[in-house]
Amino acid sequence: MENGFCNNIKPLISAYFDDELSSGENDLVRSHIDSCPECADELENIKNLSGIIKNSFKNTGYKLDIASVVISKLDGMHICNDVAEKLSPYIDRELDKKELSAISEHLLSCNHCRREYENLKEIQSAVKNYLENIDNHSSHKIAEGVINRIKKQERRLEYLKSTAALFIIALLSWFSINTISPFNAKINDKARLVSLDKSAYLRSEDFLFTKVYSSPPEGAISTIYEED
Amino acid sequence: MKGSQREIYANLTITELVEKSRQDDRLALEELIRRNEKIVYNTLYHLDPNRTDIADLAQEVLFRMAKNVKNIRNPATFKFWLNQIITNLFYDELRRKTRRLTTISMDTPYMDSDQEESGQTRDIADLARMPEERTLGSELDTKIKEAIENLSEQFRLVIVLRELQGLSYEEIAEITGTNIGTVKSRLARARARLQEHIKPYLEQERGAYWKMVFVII
Repeated sequence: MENGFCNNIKPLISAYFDDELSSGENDLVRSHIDSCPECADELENIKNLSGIIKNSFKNTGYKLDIASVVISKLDGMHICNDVAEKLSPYIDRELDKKELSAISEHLLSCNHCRREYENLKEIQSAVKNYLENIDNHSSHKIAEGVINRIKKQERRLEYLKSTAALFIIALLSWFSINTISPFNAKINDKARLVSLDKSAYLRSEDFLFTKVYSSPPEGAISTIYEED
Repeated sequence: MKGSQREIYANLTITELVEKSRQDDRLALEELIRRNEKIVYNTLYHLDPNRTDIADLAQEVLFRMAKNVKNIRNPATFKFWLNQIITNLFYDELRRKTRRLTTISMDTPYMDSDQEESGQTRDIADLARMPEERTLGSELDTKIKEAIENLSEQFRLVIVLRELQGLSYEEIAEITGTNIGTVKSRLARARARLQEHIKPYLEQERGAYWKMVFVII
């Protein structure tokens, strides 16, 4: 077969051997291998190699008894669960003396928890390092990025707020126009409503300055008419 | 565990053992640990043969397995789940700066475009100090083991997960945090490397075989 086509097939032979190709690719490779001795050889090589590797793995003897060690630690496992929860405050020294020393003692004898402790410490110091060593230039960029995002969010919030406020005002005005009776009376279109709440209106001095009504509002003590 | 009890548990499948362990069956958990100690040890060994603390790491894996067996959502995926624990520990160890090796380092730097860790020194195993934790097979086994050792970590990882653990490409991709395409290409390249490395030895073997045949004739 042409060498060009072989170059397309060769990288697929490993996956073909593992039976991990799509059915289309599978058929393609199979039919090519049937007629190409070079690629058939390649498949044979991979097959042999895989056998050798698998054998070598199988022949690795094992003379230990790790299982017994692990089994002997199973009883104390619930202690480890407790300790795991307290590791972070332990590192920050935010436990009382009794707990601190109990955990220190446990860490001395328990490899598992000591590993977890060391991992946690590594992470914490890596974070600290990162924060302390941020390059000025990159910290500027980071700060800028953060500020821009906050600005965007604030703008969005402002927009939402003003929309909501307008909506509420519109709702309230509609509501009060429809329910407060004096204002249901015919109103001269030059009248200006200063206060929407009737009693508050009467209490305030604003009513002294309002313009003409066709009939005075209920409970009005006096009405002042102003010529326009 | 009494002999008869042990027998009962020895006949259960892994899935059954996992299900029982989840329900606090202590004996099932013990059997689960015993059944997996060898493969856990061997996997860790082949991932990084020069460490002194492989037994400790294997212990850690089995302990984590026992501690978290209740968190497995589907007992049938136990092998995949266990390999996640092993691989995560392997990655943890790669990240740590202090590697516990029984090696003498040489001054020549190790240059390999596939090395994910730069600045590695060339190390040879100090055989005199290697603990008697395992037996080696034939000479070919030794050769292939060397060849695998000479691969970069990522190549070694896919070879071990595929040929030792028998995981699918999809499982390997998920465990290593990559995609199937990456697994495909890494395996193909790792195999090509290994092929190159042992080819001269294979031919030698073949030559020796024929010599033997002629001698007999």
